Amino acid sequence: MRSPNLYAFLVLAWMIAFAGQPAGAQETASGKPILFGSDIEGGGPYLFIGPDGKPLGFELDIVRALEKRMEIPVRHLQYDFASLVPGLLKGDFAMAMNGLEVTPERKEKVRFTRPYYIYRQQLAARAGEKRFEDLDSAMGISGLRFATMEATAAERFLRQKGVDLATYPSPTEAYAELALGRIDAVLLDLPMAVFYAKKNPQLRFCGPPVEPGEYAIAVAPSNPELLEKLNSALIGMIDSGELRQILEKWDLWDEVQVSLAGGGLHDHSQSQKWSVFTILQMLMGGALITIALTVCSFAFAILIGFPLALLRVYGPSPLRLLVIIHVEFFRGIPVYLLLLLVYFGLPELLPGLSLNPFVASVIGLGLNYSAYESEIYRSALQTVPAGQWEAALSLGMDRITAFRRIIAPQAMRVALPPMTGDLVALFKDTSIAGAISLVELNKQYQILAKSSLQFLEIGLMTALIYLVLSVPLGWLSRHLEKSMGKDENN
Amino acid sequence: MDLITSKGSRKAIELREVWCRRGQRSVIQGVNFSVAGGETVALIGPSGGGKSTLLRCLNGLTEFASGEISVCGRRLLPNGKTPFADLRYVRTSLGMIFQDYRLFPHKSVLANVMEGPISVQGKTHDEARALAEGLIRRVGLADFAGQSPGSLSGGQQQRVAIARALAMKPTGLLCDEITAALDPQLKSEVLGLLAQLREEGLTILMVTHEIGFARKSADRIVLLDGGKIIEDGPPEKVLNHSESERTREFLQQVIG
Repeated sequence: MRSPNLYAFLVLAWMIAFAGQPAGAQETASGKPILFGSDIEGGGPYLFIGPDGKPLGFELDIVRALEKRMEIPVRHLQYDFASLVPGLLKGDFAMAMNGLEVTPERKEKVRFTRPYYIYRQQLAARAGEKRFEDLDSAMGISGLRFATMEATAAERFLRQKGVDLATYPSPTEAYAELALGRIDAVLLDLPMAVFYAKKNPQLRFCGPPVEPGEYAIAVAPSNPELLEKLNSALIGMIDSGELRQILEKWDLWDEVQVSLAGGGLHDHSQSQKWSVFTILQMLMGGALITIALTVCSFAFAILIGFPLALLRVYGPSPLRLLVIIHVEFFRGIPVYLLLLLVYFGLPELLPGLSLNPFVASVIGLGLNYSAYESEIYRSALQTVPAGQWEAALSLGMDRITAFRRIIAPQAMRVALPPMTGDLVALFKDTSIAGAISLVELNKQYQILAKSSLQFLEIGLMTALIYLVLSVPLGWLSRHLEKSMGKDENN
Repeated sequence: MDLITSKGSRKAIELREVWCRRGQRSVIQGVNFSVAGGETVALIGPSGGGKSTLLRCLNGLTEFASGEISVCGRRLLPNGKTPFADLRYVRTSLGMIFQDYRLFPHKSVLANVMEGPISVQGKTHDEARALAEGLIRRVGLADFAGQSPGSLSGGQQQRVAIARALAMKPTGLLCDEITAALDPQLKSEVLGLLAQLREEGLTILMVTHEIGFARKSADRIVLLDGGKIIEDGPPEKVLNHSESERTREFLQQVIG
């Protein structure tokens, strides 16, 4: 795949060849559009799909204005918000613009234009919240659960404060969780708070917006000429009042935006240094959750799968049919969808039900694996010859004793190897629980990597932890398999 | 539990007008037949004649449709209606030995023999172990007690199966072609053991193709064909002086 960086490079080479001619005119002639990466899922008011199905947003308006001034066509590329910086560095698109906060960590990796908006963070709570009035008083309450969107400046801020924090891929989920009562307060950039929370009667703003920062357009360090063009176009927009018009149109203009004319806040805060010890400590915390989740989900899967297998093999035919439906349903849908259904869907069905992410994950993963487990037990039970039943019954055993002492142990030996495989698979599948804000090992990796932008080092550390846990799990189960294979002396 | 082991005592097994169906077919057609306590009876006849079905009806592994069966003084009821307590009494009184041994593969030889006394009769581990060790010695397999059944020869496995049945202290054995899968030498191991058990007064009803053994060791030979009893009498009479055309035909086929 040819990258936009390559386009930029070709354009640059071409410009050098025609040095002296006005650059803008040449580029229009080339007609090659550049891509801007942004996450439509992140929603309003940045860039979102309007009720008529057309894209809308104040950033789209800014892009259109920039396009005119730079005389370069700009096209949108849908990209996961939390991956915008790595995507830009990879060359998937030429510029990232998505309420991307200028943080010291990001500044180390990419180049930012001058800011086009000064954001502040707004705390929101449920309308009936009485325990706190603003961010400061909320921080003072122990046991309060905060939420924000992942990879935002608000996340960075709240993690520094060490509060109990859940992060979501979009603001809608964070506010939905707040309204459901699963969390107590959401801190997010003011534009999102205005767009999503202000009109929701279940929610209210707490205190004034705080912690200002800048939104700017990010470009790759290898692309200084684009940076320069964007900057001059932005200056033009600020000087002419066009930017103010756009912000006013979206109800985003306020007194702090005046500083845009001077180039923003001139904040020179340093990037946080992540020590290996801190990273390991946080990853270990995630690993503990992953282990607990694996154990509980597997226990739940066995608890459901085993009786299902009994019904399937020995039960009356209407029940057998129900078991088949259960197995096909939970085996046939993606476990990711199942988790979302359990976590977000169930509370719609049963208002007042407030499953925490761990319990929801255990239910989702457990139901999914119960389908596999019950199939394993079914086929294992069916491998025990009918003659074993007859031999046991002929000794005078009742059916339950015969099952318990003769049939089940033999089936167990057949079931153990595939169960082992499932346990290791489940161990890795727990990474999906991050989707509902459970901070297990993989989610912890995402948080750390996206905050520090050290994807490789932290990724390898995480992989190592997974391996250290899953490889002995394999050994242990193979050992079990062997010892189960040996004959009991009773 | 009083044992009925001496020859000529009251009937260990009694069938009256027993019918047994498999699907539309009547596999047993009005059989009347009995075995006295301590008697050894060989059940012979062509394949598909109903021998195994008859045997399985006697301990409730197969249901019968009508008629009367009583085993060791307990009535079995048609269509699987027998109360479990009676079924258990019958099954522990008459041990069943199968052609394919059916040992429990997940248990050692010793544990196979201990299983019934522990899980059915509620014996302690130590009691069961003492009993089982004695029986394993008795069938000549003391050196194999700790081994897995799969590592034994067919003849050895069948002797373990007999020891397992004997551990329940039965008054008799139902043997379903128990030497059919064995080589001639291994056959004699098992048949020798059976002859000993007969001497000790056990009631034995055996489905068999071993005419030689039946002649020597059975008190009676019963020939079953087409679900009906064709012949029932002492070996000498059935094998050498039968008046039935069908019997002579069958014997000619078997002995050759």
